[in-house]
Amino acid sequence: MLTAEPTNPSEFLGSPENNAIGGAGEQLRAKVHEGLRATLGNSIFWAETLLRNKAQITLRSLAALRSNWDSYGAPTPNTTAIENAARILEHMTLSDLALARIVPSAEGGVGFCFSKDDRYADIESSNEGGIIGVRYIGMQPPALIEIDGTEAAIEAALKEIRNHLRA
Amino acid sequence: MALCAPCTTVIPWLYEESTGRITNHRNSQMSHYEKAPITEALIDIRVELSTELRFEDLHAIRKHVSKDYPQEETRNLAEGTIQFAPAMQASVQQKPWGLLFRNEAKNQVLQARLDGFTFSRLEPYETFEKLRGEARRLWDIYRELMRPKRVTRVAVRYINQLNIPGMTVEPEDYLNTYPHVSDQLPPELRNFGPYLMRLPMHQGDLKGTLVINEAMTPAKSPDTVSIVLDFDLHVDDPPVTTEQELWSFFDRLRERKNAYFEACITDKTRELIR
Repeated sequence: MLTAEPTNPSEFLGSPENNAIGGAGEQLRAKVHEGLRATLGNSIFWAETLLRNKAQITLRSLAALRSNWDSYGAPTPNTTAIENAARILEHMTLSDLALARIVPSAEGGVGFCFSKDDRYADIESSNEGGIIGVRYIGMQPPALIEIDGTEAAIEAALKEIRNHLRA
Repeated sequence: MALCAPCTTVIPWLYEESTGRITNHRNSQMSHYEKAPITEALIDIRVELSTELRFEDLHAIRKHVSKDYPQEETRNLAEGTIQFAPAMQASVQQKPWGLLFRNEAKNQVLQARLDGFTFSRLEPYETFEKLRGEARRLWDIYRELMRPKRVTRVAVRYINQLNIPGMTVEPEDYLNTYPHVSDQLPPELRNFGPYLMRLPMHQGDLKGTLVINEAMTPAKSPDTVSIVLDFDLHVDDPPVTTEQELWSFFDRLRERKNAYFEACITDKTRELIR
């Protein structure tokens, strides 16, 4: 019987790691890696599913951070920040997912950071429930990306970031 | 020889001596499903290009496709591998390898790479004829600009996502191909999932391989179990010398894929997607 009970997202495609040290374990590890790479192939669906899964695992790990994780008093990202971050994640395309670094915010929240050459942008989901973006080039002053929290605004913000990184 | 779970549907297989084809009755009358669970269908052509061609040469494709596929992304060689081997991430350089073009509706994607061409249709799926037609139109552009020396591999791949209502599911109710756990274990020790099963199956007549990837993935909606049923049929060094032969060969691959799909699902699944 298959069960839909909530599970750790890291488990959904099985972990390619194992702790066997013998030859058979090594062979199995190599075979699993090879098989998973072949499964990915040139499929957009699998690439997005796997990158999204990785991002969800990261989000989950941020939710488990202890308060004062940076030793300067930074709060743990709370449920509101994590839930909004998960909404942002839903709007991300394959290339967004491949570029994004997901980090905790020192002010309390979750940030998605994107950089390409000297172009930088991020979207931050705060513990207070706000979502805000910023973009800049090199040492230039940053430009604010207004996001009112709606799905349309999140989509528009990601589009603006894509254009900024592509320009 | 294969190990098979009991089938709920009997499908008569036919070997056509004159053509060397293996078909089945149901396949020749392929059902149309109103709620087809296809989340991605793709046609993939791998090629050998001139060694003088560089990534930058792929940009020539842009002006021919940007009207219909305005959203462009760069695909890096290491992109796919980082998921599976975090330790390799630092040692693998992100090298631009291909361009990815999406249409405005984000349901059609062209990948033009230095090792080939892929056209994907995402949800909602329409028909194979439309998939093939658009793939061929885009392939003609790729072929004209990149002048491949030869086709090294072709593939047809259909990824289905079955969203089955309920918090628990008996896989044999919906699937005829699934990991079978020994009946000798007590029921409470036979629950499993999430899982990924990868089953390569040699296709002697086509000289290719059909890989069934079956996985339990995060559910799309609450109170459902989501199972991905992915058929990836590929042939290395396909026996084609002309464009006509190449596209007819895709028809054969699609027929075979259909035969496997029909054989792998039960009537209960058919009810879900009809």
